[in-house]
Amino acid sequence: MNEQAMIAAAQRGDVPSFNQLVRSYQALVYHTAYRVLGEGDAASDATQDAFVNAYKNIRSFRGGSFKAWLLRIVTNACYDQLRAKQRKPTASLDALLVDPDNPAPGLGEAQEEAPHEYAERQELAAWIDKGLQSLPYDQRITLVLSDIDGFAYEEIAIATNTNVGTVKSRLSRARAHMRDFLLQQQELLPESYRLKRRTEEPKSVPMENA
Amino acid sequence: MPKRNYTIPDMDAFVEERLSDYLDGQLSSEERALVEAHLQKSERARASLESLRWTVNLIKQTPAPALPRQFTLPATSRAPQPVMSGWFVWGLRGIAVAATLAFVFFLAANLRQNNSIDTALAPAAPPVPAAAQPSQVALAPTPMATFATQQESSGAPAPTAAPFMITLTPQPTVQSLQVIPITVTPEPTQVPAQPTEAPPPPASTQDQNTAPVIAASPTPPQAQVENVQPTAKPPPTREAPPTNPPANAKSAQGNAPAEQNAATNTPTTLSISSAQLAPEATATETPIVVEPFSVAGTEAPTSAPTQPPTNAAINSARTVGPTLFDGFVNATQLNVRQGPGLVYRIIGSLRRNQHVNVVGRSQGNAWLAIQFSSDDNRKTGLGWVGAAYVRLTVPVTSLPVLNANGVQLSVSPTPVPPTLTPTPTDTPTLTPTSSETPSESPTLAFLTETPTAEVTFTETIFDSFTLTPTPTDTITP
Repeated sequence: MNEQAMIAAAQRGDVPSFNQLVRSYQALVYHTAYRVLGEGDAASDATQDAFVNAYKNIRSFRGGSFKAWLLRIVTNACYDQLRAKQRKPTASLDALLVDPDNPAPGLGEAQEEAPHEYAERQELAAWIDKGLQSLPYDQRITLVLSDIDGFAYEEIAIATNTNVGTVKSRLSRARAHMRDFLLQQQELLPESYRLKRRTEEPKSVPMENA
Repeated sequence: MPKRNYTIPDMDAFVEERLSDYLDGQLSSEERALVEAHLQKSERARASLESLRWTVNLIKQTPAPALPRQFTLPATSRAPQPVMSGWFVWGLRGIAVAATLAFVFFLAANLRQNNSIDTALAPAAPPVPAAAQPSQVALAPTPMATFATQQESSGAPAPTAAPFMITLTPQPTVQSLQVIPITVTPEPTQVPAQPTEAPPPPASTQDQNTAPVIAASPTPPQAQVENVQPTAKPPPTREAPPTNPPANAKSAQGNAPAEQNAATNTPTTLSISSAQLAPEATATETPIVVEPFSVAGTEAPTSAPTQPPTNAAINSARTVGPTLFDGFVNATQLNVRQGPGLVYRIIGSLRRNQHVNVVGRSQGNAWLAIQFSSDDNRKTGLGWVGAAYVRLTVPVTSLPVLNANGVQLSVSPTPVPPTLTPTPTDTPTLTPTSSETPSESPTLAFLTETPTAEVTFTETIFDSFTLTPTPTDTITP
């Protein structure tokens, strides 16, 4: 059953088909919401709201990229959560840093990732979260969709209800801001993530290209 | 020459704006040529590109958070909306607004009415409402409740007051019910002391314990007041209304005005009756069994028939015990997990320099098993911590290798013989315990035997941990 068929079935009111879509997109949606909102509870709520709304309005989906269509709903749900959070700012900063139930990278088997490597990744994530939270909402969601979710500019344009030109400029500004932020925190970042200052030789920088 | 000095900063700005797109390969060919030409020339632009690429790489490495749960919709979800026309939506909204307004008006009118009655009656019966009103506000569980009591206390005479007080009693009864599980839970542990006598009782007495109390709550209060009150406390004088509320104030019913004298006693009688029931059910030998192994004693009494052997086995094994090694926490805060891996749940945490009894290690040496009791690991009594954060007094390789369930996988070769350990001066406590494990057979008997109690772990990830219940000396009912 491909995605088109699942969508068609969901449009006829078939919940199991829609839930298959949910299963294939929930990780993406939750991760997006988590990075945009910077916090798990609100991200959970936004994700749930997004899927409920997506199902409710699935008949208004008329072809194109389902992912982009879905992410547009997610973007709106995140925005709603953000406004709700601003009304009653209850999220603690500690919640950003300490993840009580830590990610399960592989399901089931207990692979032995040394805790300190994991800790470094989490530390990096905490800094990135801080940088993201200091961005304006439009730039933040654009950056998350582009560099964390890996969306194409066109998809981001659909998801954020703008055009590609705006996406480009938002992304450019957001990245520049994040660069300045992370460079400021350089010394605090885990060793392995710091920018190796190249002095003279330009080619020796051990940086994997994306 | 001067021309070039002007263009470089301009080009820097021009290129800077396009570096993001350049990274993504989104520039037109002319722009890309310009940018690349400039990158050749300008060290600053290269550094800028470099740091931007570094930033994007970092962002891309951000680990994904674990899904807290599944977000699938319930199968009973309503069918997706047809694309609705505008007037229909607005019509619905209009109805909703009208209903809300009507409700608000209704509430306002009601409140106003009550206020007037209150003030009208206040001078007529000054002491009672004055004493009752503040406590009502403080103690009443819900606004609905205060509303009801207010109505009654202000206007209604005695007979109609009683039913309203009964509607309030659920709160006290819940309190008394909460007491019962605590007093009853040790009850199954009493079984191992005399396993031959009667297997059925544990389950049934448990039911009987809770049943009468639940049944008792709705019964009319007067009947219970008669038989329990004398033993409980000096009976409040019914003829002296003003003195009564303060006496009963603690029972969450002090808000009751004078007429509800009998009713106010309900909560106290209920809690007393439950307290009387509990000692009856729990036999006298409970403390004896609970004392030697407190962790097992708190187990849920759901699988009563299979439990007795477990406790007995654990009790006997506990006296033997595993070899323990001293360790000290070497991190500000160290999480203790249910198993050797970050996928396992955190069941507690330790502070720097806290002493732990290390029992074993994981296969990759990245994790250490320590003795750690919490609600989540009653079966094994083990917790796992990152090995990098524990300072050991012996080499890590000298520890036995355990799997996630605490079962010993391989007998450690014990490269450090017991006779060697005394040489480090800071580990005097180690010698007596380590000398106890010269045998090749696993000494962690209690770890391997524990799983008899339940079939699976609470965590579903331990799918390897399915164990068949092997009662050794119980009578299956």
